[in-house]
Amino acid sequence: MFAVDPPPTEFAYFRALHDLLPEPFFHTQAFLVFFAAVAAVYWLIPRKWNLARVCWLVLASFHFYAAWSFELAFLVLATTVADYLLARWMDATDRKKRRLALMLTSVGMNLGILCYFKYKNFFLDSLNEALLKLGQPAAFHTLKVIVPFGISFYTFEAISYAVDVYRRTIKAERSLPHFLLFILFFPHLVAGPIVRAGDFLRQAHRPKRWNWLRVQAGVQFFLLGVFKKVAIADRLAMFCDPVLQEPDKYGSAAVWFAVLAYSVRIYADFSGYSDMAVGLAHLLGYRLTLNFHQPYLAVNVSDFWRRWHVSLSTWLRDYLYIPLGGNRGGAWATNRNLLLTMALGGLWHGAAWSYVIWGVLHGVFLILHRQFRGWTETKPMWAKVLESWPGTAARVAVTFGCVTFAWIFFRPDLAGSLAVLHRMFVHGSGLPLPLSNTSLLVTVGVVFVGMLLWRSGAFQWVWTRLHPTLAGAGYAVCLTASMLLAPPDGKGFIYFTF
Amino acid sequence: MMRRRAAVAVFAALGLFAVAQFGFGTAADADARFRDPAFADKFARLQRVGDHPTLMLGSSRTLLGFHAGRFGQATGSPAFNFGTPATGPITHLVYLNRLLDRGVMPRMLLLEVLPPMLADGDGGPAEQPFLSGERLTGDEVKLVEEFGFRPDAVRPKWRASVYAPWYSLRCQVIGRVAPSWLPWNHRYDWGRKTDPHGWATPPRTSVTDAERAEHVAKAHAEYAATLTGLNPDGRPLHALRRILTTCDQHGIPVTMVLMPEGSTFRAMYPAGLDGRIAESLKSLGVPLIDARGWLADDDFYDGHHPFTHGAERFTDELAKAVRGVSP
Repeated sequence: MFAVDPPPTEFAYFRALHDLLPEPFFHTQAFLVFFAAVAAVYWLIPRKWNLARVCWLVLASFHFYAAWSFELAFLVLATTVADYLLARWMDATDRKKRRLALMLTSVGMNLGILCYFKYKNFFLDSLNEALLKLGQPAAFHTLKVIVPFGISFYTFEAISYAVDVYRRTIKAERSLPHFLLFILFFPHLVAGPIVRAGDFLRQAHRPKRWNWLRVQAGVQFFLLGVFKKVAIADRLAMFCDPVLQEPDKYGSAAVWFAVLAYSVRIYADFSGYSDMAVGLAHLLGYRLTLNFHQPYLAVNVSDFWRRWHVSLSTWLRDYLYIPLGGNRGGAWATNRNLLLTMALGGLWHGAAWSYVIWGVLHGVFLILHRQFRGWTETKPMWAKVLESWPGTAARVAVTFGCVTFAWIFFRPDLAGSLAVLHRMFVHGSGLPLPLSNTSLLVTVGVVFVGMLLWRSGAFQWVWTRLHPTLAGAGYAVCLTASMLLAPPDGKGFIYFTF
Repeated sequence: MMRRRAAVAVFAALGLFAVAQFGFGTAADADARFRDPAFADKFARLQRVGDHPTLMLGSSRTLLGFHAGRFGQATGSPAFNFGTPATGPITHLVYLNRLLDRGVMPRMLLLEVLPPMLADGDGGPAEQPFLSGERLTGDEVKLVEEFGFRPDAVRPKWRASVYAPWYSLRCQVIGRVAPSWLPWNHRYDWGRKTDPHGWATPPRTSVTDAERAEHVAKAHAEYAATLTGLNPDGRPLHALRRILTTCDQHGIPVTMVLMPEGSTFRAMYPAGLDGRIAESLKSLGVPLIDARGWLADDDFYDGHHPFTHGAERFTDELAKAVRGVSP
């Protein structure tokens, strides 16, 4: 499932742990057993012993990670302790330069680890390619490095914490277990949502009561996530994976359909994971940021980024775009900042030029949208047409088209992305889709109808008025349908590789 | 009040989910269509053929190669093709037991022996990956374990089919209600795409030389390694012996058949293997029809699955041969 899996450990305890929980996926039987045990003990600990509950969750989270690789679990633990100490030191001093140095040390350490594990080979490969183009032999040797899963997520959490403490937006956390839980909390450890210290630590300090409303919300989110992942994303992978791997073998129409399937798959895969994470956190009494708000109903690309991976887009806004100057320096500087932020956002997703292109494309779309919005502000008739029902539908369609086009580059293989593009726009005959087009369109239709129902409030209206037994039946049907519609072979999470 | 409603919803979900699993699990145990449609669909067709047919159990070679309707006309008594892809002696034993339990009493059993399926090893018999645990009942799991299926391969899947049948048997269900939603190899619909006598028309009517070469290479990749290390005296042979004992107890005459193979396929057999297989099969003490050389290379599209004309030629020859060995 991962690019490079860690070698088996020599320690029998961790080897046994790995056998029990071989993959850090939430929708596996092994994980559900693990979670049931963790949650049972957690709620059995008396409410007044909140620290014990926090320590229990830290222990469980460490084991969750260590089951995959205990060496890397210790690395995450060690850097988290270092972040904790640096922030405490920062908080304790009023000397500006020292505070700045400590903040930079913390940020540098996290970025350094991120660069070493995730980007080192990418940079070295790029340098080698540049040397080869200049007629020089490759001078740098790449290393086989195991990328710790979730590294992009928890390093961003640690960086935002250091910056917030430096800005005095929050005070440095005094309790090490609480801080460890902020970084290691297993529902968000692997693929977010990227949580903010101020929000999470406040929750961690508050003793929690068992609350059936919260349990129901947790179950609902979790089941919705399982359905999105298993019945939608994994099903769509059967259409897009073979075609995008070998586009030359397939006809142009099949490639267009595969790109559509990939677009919806990415949404269902990642939002499904996020929903599961939010659901699990609810079951432990925590509230995580909702990461998606029907993004494919966005009316423009700017709106899309307010609905897609919200915890990342707000992070990029607060810790990159605004520090770069945001929109305070005139049109040129704003466009530059947008482009830079989105390009780095693309690189955050993966160490490959294709991800950079994906980010740049979004930067360009955002710039074009700003220009277009400025133009329509001077043309009230146009603005009125665009605000009408057909105008809104057209804007949603254009936005979806742009986003879907950009997804072609959202994979590590740039040559493969270009081959897909070529096949799409230069007509060619070949194999049809691996499965019937009808099943693809029905699956995609379910996603869009679901989004529309949610957006219109119809879903919530019905749900709140439903007899609880019928609501329970709905959950049972959702889980049973997920099981039934799961494809023959399971698929990994796309975002776990980031 | 709101909290009470939430608790009711959660408990209702748990309860109804458990009921859905238990209900379907019970239905799956009662009706083979849910567990093993490949068997159940063929059985449904077999019931319409008439009493005491000549029955041929075999693999995809039989499914595509034995034109049972034609055979019946040639021999003057009904015949049925119970060929199922990716099966060997152990699956045939399971199927024979099921048929006998359901009151089927064949006039004669033609039993295909697919040499690669005689392979056995530490990992289990060659057919283990294909006869997945969820297709079996609890008693059948014990039976296949007796013939070398590894418990860690077969039991977890069977167990999953008991406590989470909606997941475990999903391909069987979707394969019936919406087959186009699944890749062809997961649809379990082979038994529904046959003529009334169980014979499946070969998927190809002709191939180019290049296509044939590609298919042959694929067959080579699939079977060559198995044939190289093949010991024909393994546990699948014991399963064959059990089939013969069972038939003997029920008074069913058996003839074993080695199905036709093209010259490219026969060339994969290492020196001496033909003789060892023949010796092992002869030790079972029932007639053996060796049809491996009956068809020309042009009669196959991949070296071992025949075209329609190949199937017809094989069937005609088989009818003559069966008349020769019939008691």
